[in-house]
Amino acid sequence: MRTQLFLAVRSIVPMLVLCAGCASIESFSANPRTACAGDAVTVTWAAVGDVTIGSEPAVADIGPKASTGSQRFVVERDTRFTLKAGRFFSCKRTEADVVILPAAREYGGIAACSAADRAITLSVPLGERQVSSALTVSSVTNANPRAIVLVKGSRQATIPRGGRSAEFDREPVAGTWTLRADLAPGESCQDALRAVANRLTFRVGFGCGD
Amino acid sequence: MATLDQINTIVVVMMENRSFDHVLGYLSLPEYAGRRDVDGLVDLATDPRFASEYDQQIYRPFPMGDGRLLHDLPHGRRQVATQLAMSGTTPTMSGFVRAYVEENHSIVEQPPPLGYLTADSVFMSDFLARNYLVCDRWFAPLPTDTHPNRVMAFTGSATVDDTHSRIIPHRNLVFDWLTKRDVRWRAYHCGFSFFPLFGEFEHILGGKFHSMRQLAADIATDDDNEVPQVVFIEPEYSDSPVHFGFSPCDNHPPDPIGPGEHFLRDIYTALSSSPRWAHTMLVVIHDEHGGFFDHVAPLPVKMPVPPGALYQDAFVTTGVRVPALIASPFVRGGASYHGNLDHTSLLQLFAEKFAGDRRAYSDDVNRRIDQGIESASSVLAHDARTDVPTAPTKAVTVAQVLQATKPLINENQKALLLAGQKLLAHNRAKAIREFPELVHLQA
Repeated sequence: MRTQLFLAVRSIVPMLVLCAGCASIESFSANPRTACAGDAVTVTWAAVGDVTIGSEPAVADIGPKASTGSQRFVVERDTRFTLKAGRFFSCKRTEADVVILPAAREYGGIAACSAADRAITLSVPLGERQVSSALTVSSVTNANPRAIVLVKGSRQATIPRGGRSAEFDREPVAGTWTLRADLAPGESCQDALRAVANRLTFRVGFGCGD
Repeated sequence: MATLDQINTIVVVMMENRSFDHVLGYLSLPEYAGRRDVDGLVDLATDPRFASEYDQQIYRPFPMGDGRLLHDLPHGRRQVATQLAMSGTTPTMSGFVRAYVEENHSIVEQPPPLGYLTADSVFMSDFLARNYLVCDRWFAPLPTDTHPNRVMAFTGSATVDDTHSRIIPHRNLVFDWLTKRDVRWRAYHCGFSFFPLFGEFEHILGGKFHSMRQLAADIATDDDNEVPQVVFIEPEYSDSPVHFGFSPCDNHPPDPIGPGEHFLRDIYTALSSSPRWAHTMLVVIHDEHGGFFDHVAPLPVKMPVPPGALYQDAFVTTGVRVPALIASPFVRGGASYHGNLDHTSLLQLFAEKFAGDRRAYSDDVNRRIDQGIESASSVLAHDARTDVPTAPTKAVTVAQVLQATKPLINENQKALLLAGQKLLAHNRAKAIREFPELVHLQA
């Protein structure tokens, strides 16, 4: 009888684990990823299993949560939020960082080239996922191997390779930035894109509301 | 005499899931070797080729210590496509962070796919790179994961484009090719082997598969007419369903790379301490990049969908670059090779060596030759060197390091060392057959 019970349990347990499902994480984020001290960041999650939201360092009101949710937490320092989801014998974990007033960040992406406009261009929208609305610009640097024209709202600056501009100082970082790098005379789009490895980027130095 | 004629034994070691930049990229950094002959990591803060984008933010490679990662990294066909981030027909290699976030829902300041190791962590690869030859254009054959790339390595084609639980349909298995030409071959495995996945169990049970624990003794005692001409050496796979006597040492994330470095050290020491080393070629490669960043775009090598394939979309590029190191008296110390190679370069090598024609393996391999993939014989120098560099003895800082590499700290350890040396002096062949670890000790 004991043997039969053991065999029954032994056959059921794997089925429970495999058939009833393991813990899983469907989504997790902490935004904005770059913030000022005292900002509230929004942590959003969706998981299967018993969910615990943690942080390092600890912030107020972390702990067990519903499997799906969203909550705002006030951060004072660089913070790593963690999501742990547990179910039966499985446990999943993932992480999201929020950084407070880093010296600078690089933004950008894969650019497109227009032979008609003779330029490589890229639009970089920075919103609440990326940056706190309290963050301001302290400097902008051209990180590309050629000069760019950088535009945000009504402001515009031509910045040489490796150069800086004060044109955007004290402006909010949030908003849409547009980058443009003109083709050299006779240069093809293919050659121009190769020269910048298909990317356009810029570096932003940060301030917090001052 | 041609160089290839002087190679009597070709040894192939295929590790798991690391990219070239991740393992050997540091060689180009000025704070390490600063090797300009190796296409590795340079100007990381400014060179646009090293910029990965996720959600408008740019992430760049960073030095990481060896250790267990939180997650495995994505490296299936769909995820690799995200990593390559095609712009038109150009792989931009900018999507490694995006693929990681999409798979693991983790976005951290230093995303693991962009971490690179340094000499302290990869002490044995560093040793091989400094003393032998680095291939910095060795690509995984296909932009996807383990099974397709290993099948390419051992057959020249791939009827699968992903890794699933199944016996892998195939043609032109290297074991059949070698056997048909009376080439002596052998496979050494730590625990369970990858090769049963081909379903040809007679090869597995036919006496040619030996435990890794027999390697050093076999090398020392094999007669000339029985020493294998081709040797495949397998690590203990982290994905193995059982681990019996070995710990994973295949380099597959999230496990650390330290055990794999010690595994390579075992192999090199066993081979290089034998007189047969003078006619040996050791090839150490990784099956695919495992989701780690690399800045070099895959080659535009096309592979049509083969008959009987379990997928419909043809491959139009190779996979990502992988670390590749060649150790042999027939390569120069501290050298590099920049010709285009992939795992089928080994099949070309076998064809060249054992059939006298590098096009003698299969039409599938020839199709890659026609698109610029070279034979692994291309790396060999004309003249043999006579020095045999000694493998490093230093330990690495991971929990799985072998006890044998720790410095002597007490009398009992010193006594065990003495006993081991005396045992070797008494009968080296029998001693290393019984205790393979003793190959690291000098009698």
